[in-house]
Amino acid sequence: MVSKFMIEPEYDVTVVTVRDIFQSMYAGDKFGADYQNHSAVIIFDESDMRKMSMADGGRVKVKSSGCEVVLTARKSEDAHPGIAFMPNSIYANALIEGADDTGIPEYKQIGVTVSRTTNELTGVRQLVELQKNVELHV
Amino acid sequence: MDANNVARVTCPACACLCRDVDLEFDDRGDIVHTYNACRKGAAFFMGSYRENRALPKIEGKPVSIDDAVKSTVEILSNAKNPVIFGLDTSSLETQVLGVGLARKLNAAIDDTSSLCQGLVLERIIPGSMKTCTLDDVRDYSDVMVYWGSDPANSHPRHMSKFSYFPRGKKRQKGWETDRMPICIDVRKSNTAGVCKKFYKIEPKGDEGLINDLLLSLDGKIGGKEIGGKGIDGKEFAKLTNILKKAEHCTIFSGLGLVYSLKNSIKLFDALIEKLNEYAPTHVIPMVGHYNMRGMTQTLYDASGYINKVRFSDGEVDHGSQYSITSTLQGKEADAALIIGADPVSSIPLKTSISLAGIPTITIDAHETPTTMISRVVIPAAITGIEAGGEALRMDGVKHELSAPRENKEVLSDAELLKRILEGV
Repeated sequence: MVSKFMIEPEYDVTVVTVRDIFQSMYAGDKFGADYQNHSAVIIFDESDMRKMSMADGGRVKVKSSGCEVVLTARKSEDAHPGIAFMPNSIYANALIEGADDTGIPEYKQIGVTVSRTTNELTGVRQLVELQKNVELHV
Repeated sequence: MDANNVARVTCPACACLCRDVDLEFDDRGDIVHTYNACRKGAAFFMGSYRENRALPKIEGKPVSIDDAVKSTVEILSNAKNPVIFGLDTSSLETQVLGVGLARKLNAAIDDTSSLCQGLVLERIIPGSMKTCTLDDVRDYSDVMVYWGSDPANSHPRHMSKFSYFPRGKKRQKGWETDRMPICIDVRKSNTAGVCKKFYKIEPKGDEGLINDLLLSLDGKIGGKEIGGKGIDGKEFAKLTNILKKAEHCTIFSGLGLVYSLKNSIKLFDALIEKLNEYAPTHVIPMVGHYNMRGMTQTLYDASGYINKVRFSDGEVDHGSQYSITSTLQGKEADAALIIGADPVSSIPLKTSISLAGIPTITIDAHETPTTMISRVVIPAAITGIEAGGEALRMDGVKHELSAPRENKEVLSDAELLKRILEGV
């Protein structure tokens, strides 16, 4: 149980983006619950989850210098300590800072910090609105 | 299955462009069943194309398509530095019109390839990297390397139709004994799970593995722990031998490889060149969008470059400064036309959101995060189901797309671009 009065410890993890056939089935409606539930996901190594006291299906706050999102934590069937996987979507792109001189963003080595949370999953519309407001007020 | 209500179509759900998908219709003309389609294709035909359709809007308010097109013409005509992005899910005809519009507007034009398979396609299309067709793979390949690619998730019928399971002219014994599928990846993907060999490398371990392979092919190293943590020396030696002794090897380069190498892509050139000293080795990039290969070919035919182009009074300029990410990061564009793409979802949000600060027009079949921040939204028919045309499969083979469910309420993106071209 995550208490709202406690500061949850943060852990450093490297995120690698991957493809997910189930997510791509719902790509026609990027605001729909199915697409969001298959995109707002981060897959951890089992030993990392134990270390962070995270439950399969629990909520995690994932932060980078780019943004902060709330995702569902999932347990991996494979061992990859220190590395987490995310389907490529607006959520992964919210965490990436930008592109280097090749024009290609850093999709395969995104440095993030994660912590447990009880907050609701970040919605796609919410994510766009937040960033849009920042952009329009710069 | 009632044969009278069945149509055979080409599936536009990915760049495999499967041509054996059958759709069964009821008496009202609705699709009630798909045959031969994968999970992605079936989801597309059975419903996802109908959901969440875009409506014509200006600044969030409903308008007629005519008014949306008129506003588009005004914005683009008044822009000094417009950018056109997308066209990877459009027909070849539409792509030609899009490139023509960029030329007429003196605009920059780019597509998703600039942030994914462009580095490989700019070698394949001019012919500087050896490639082959998926039909060649089915008939001749005995060694297939899925390197940083996971077709089980990205191109679900790739392995069953072309690259692993089918029997081909010279591969009559099929997958059991005639083929050696190898997966190189940072995780045990679903594809790795069915391959006969899996080499797990660390993130960004591709460069180290290529360097080791180059040395190993020349007989300069072997036996010890190489290629990054986890690859045993004996297994690595086996990999070198399999690649050297292949009769017809094809490497399916995925985003894992491309994103890992980036500026070191010349190492991959060197590896393919070196492998070809021993065995015929080909590369096919695992292109995602169904006609990205077509867009890169169309722009190459028109400008000599596959992406990141700027037209200026008939002249062509090219460089990473014209990639969509650089253009938006530098805040240089003063108007944007997005066609069949969703950059707000597919490139870093901090970069793409600057589209909200300029007049952005989006032509798309669906409401997306990009239409959410667009000043003008114009709905379009979906090519491959509501509009026909032609597209290039990931290996460059041309296929016809049909329109089994014509939608008279929306125009095709080709028709919309023709109207915009007439107006600007």
